[in-house]
Amino acid sequence: MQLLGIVLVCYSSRGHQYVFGYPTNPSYKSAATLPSPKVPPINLINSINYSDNNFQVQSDSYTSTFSENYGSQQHNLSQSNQLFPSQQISGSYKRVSEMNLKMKSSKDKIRNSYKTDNNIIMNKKDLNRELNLKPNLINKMKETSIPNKNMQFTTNNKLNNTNEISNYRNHNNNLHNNNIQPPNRLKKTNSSHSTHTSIINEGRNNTNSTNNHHNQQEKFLGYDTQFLADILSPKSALCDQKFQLTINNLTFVGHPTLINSDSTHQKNSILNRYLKKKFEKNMNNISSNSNSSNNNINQYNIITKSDKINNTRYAHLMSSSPTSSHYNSIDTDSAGSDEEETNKKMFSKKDATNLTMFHVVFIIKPSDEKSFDNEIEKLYKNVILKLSHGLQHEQRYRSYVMQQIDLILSLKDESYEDSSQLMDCILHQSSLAHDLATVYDALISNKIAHIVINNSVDLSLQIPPSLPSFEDNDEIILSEEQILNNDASFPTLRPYHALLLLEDPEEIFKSFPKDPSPTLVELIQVVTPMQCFEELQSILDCSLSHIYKLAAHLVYWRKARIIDVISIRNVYVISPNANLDILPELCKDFENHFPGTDLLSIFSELSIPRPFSSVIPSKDQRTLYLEIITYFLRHNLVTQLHMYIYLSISQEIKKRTIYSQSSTENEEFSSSDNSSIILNPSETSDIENEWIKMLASTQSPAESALFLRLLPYFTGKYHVEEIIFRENLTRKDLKIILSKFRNELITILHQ
Amino acid sequence: MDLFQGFPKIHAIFFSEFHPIQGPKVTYAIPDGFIYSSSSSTNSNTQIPLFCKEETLDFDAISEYVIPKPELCNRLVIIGTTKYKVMGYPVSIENPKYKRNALIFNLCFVFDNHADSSSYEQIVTKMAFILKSLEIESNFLYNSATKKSLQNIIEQLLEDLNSYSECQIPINEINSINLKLFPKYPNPEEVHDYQVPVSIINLNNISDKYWDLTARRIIPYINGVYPIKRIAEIADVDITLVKITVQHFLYYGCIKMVDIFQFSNIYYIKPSIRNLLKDEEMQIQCVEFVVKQGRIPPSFAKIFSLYCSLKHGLTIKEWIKENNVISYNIDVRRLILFGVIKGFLQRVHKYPILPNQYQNSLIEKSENEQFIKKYLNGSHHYDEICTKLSYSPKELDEVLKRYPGIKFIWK
Repeated sequence: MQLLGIVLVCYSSRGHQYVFGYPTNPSYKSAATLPSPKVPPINLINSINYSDNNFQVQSDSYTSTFSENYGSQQHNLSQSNQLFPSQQISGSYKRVSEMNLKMKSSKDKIRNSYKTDNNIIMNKKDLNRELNLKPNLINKMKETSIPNKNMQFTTNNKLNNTNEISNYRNHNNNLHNNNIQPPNRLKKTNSSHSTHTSIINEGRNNTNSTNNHHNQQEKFLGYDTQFLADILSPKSALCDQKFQLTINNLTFVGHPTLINSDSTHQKNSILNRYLKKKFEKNMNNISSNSNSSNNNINQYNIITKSDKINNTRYAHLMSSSPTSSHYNSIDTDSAGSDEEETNKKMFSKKDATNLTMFHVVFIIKPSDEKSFDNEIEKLYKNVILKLSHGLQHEQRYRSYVMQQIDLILSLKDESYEDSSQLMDCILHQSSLAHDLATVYDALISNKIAHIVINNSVDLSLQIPPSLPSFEDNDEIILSEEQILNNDASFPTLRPYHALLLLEDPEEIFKSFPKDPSPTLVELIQVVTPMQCFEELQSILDCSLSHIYKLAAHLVYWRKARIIDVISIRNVYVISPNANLDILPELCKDFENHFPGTDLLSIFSELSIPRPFSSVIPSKDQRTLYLEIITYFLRHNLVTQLHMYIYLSISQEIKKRTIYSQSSTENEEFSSSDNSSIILNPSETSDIENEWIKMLASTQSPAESALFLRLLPYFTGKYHVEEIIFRENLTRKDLKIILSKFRNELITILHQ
Repeated sequence: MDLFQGFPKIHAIFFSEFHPIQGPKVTYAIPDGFIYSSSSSTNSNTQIPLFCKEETLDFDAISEYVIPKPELCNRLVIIGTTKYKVMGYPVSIENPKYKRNALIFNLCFVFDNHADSSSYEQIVTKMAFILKSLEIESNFLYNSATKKSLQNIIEQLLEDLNSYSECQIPINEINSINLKLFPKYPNPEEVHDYQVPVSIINLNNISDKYWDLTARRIIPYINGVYPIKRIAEIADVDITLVKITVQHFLYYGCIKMVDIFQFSNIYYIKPSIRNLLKDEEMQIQCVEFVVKQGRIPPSFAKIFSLYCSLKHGLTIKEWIKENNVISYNIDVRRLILFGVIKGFLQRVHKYPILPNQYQNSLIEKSENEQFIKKYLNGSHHYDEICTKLSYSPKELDEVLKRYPGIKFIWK
């Protein structure tokens, strides 16, 4: 499964909107071996249907007509104050689409054609635009020059006669407020800075053209973003459930989330309007926590009474939102004005957007593999669902998603030199965008995304590691019954196992949520791979099962692995999965960790299976070498081999059994070599029992007793360490048995 | 290889189009009543519902994906609902004769939400193409008389594909619909020069004179001994063609790729050898396979213990000596082959590495040695280098001896 990108779309009073897509230029690696007919859209719609010429012309014409409609619509909607003559846009588009038909080849050429087209038209319409001055310009000025900002400040202060001072400190957040200002005021500002304005105007021309560009050109994975917004905003019947759409060979998975617009929102908006009126009548201390107020205008009184609660709630919202960190600098004295201003902000926003649905969509390249559906399901359950629910929660109680969407969209209305700069800016200012980017980056590198939505919902997201299959299990071989009983997808933990941290404790702590379990912290601090769980139990003074739970937790979150206790008796060989392609980097890293040692020499020592002690050159280097093997295990470079034991009854024993019994089944043993393997020594037939008895009787009574005791383990399911642990033996005991019965016991070394 | 688990069942097929007045609507659907429209006019309410509400499909919810915006047309579109998966290929034909200057239609197949419907993708696409060309050539959909026959066609499609996985429906004198479902396998892995193809089935028996020329040319040389490069040389076929052909065989599971058998090879046992112990049929197969022709076979237990004695660091040559393998009437090559094909034996490759500090220590004498050096970075094993440079492992050993500080990693 290949994750290509994450997109956020929403449905608000402005219609379907594409809010944000990450990464900026999703790279689509199409495997060369794949059959070509299904070659996906890569960069431009125009280039999609290259392979089948039948549809080439058609699709082009569709694209242009489509974007014509939607391009202009988008303008009208998203830049509601900018009155673009729609003719102009469609005109330019038409020309472009003509161009497209002529030269489908190079994207650059097309882009250029856009530029020139737009520029020509822009110049013609310059005058027109002067008259239609856009309030956005103000923001532009604020963004570009600091002195301007001060000027701005005063003008606005006069303008509104309200406590909006702090509002402008937070200017990044409040573009919509600015938009409300009457245009003639702005004109004044403009004229007072005539030199600036002209420059800015010029800049603005460019920006406009680039903006145009953006709207027209803004594509994600070859799809027009407005188109994406449309197809990814399903009807409500498909909302609040898993959404999966496959188009050619892109799969979109998400969980479209409705915001209860019908029940609370409408009433709230009535309430808001009412409250707003009151506010304008200079009623003091109105607060509208829209979501807490349930039904009625009558409740207004209750709200004012419960003002304090609301205050605190707002305080929390403000302090917790990283984008509005400016608020923190404001004195507590001005909290009241703060409050009002927040209300205002809320009102204006409510009026601007009434968010009814948002949808975080993960775009995946489908594969032919059978497990693909499973992987999608995993992604959906473990990442998408959690993320969507988290966002829904924050939206419900703090209108978080809506604020963030407004923020991102307003940032997009600004001008930026190129898309990467815009992306930087969005990622910097919008915590939601930042979170989505974090999730994407973590998922593609197969790591864990740790995000805190709106500083309150703490989420760790990952696609959980899957059960190591029987065959390429690194450490532990599960017996069938263990697999059957094991519905949790992780190997059984045994007291003789140890926990190998995959990162340094400090690193692990960094990724912890705010309130980790103290035992877990302690465990991470004390644990070493040379200690088994049993020993750990006494160090930590808690039950084994509790340690298991903590260990399983760490394994699930990929911070640790379960291994057998590292010891010099263990047999290690280079893992078949070791990635030797990165050997040069590995050598360097190894050199840094263990100066004076040579990775390659140790590697070549590990080619023969033998106890690790024989690799260690001298006794005083033992600790060093144990650390080295820990390093190897962490990096999956080596694997431990275990010895397993099978029981095979030789011809000789069988014959002896016959002689001693004067048996009835002579004929069976006619051929020269007829030893047989007892697959399950604990469930044997009568004759097999006889053989085993005979076999045991060949050795001294003590040894034969031990042999019979260990018999159930000679099935190839239990490795030596397991047998020793279960029967509480010493290695020496087992060694004796193995040597005494060496003709009948088949030993085998594998992982 | 995964066993093929049959094709998923089609729950329904429906034909939908953009009606000039009513907008997107379902014109024909089989089975009847499977699809309902939550907001549609009351004309369909008269019929008795054949399905309970949970089992039906709400057309309005998905209509924008069935009859989509033009940008989505002419692509395969699959949309999932809670219970079903709807696969369609919206087609739009522009022509002034239509009331809205374009005809948009879509023949959709409905599957279980979790069904693996990938083998139907071709069918759905093909049906869209067929209907499109029918419409363009003979106004099949424009003409209401012929359009009505679609109902029967859909019905037959559903029945035949579900019961026989194929269908043939004559439409008129010239045209007919021929469909057959093929299982979809994962793409085969890359094939390397040094790998040896081993046929699992008798390729000679199934091939005939209509087969691909390259395939017929190389089949005689797929004998479990020759590596790809050798096959290309002997059959006098370009090596890339050989690789492609072999990949095709791999795709259909006719062959498996193994290593070159050499007495200097090292193998180790994988835990899955337990499967061999449990499967008596495989044991008999194993004994028959590994015994030298016409000799008395050894017991399975002996073979098993021989397998078990293979391990890291032990070459086949040493292993034969240590275990006196020759006395058991066993064809060692076939013994190893059986293990590798069944997946419980794994080759340990030898990777020569020249550490950085020795990179420049050797004064190069021949060009060949310069050439060798780029393989000494740990990403290339003996088989690969030997095949590339046409050395035997022994010769390569000799050559590499001259490099001071060279290290070997077995993996």
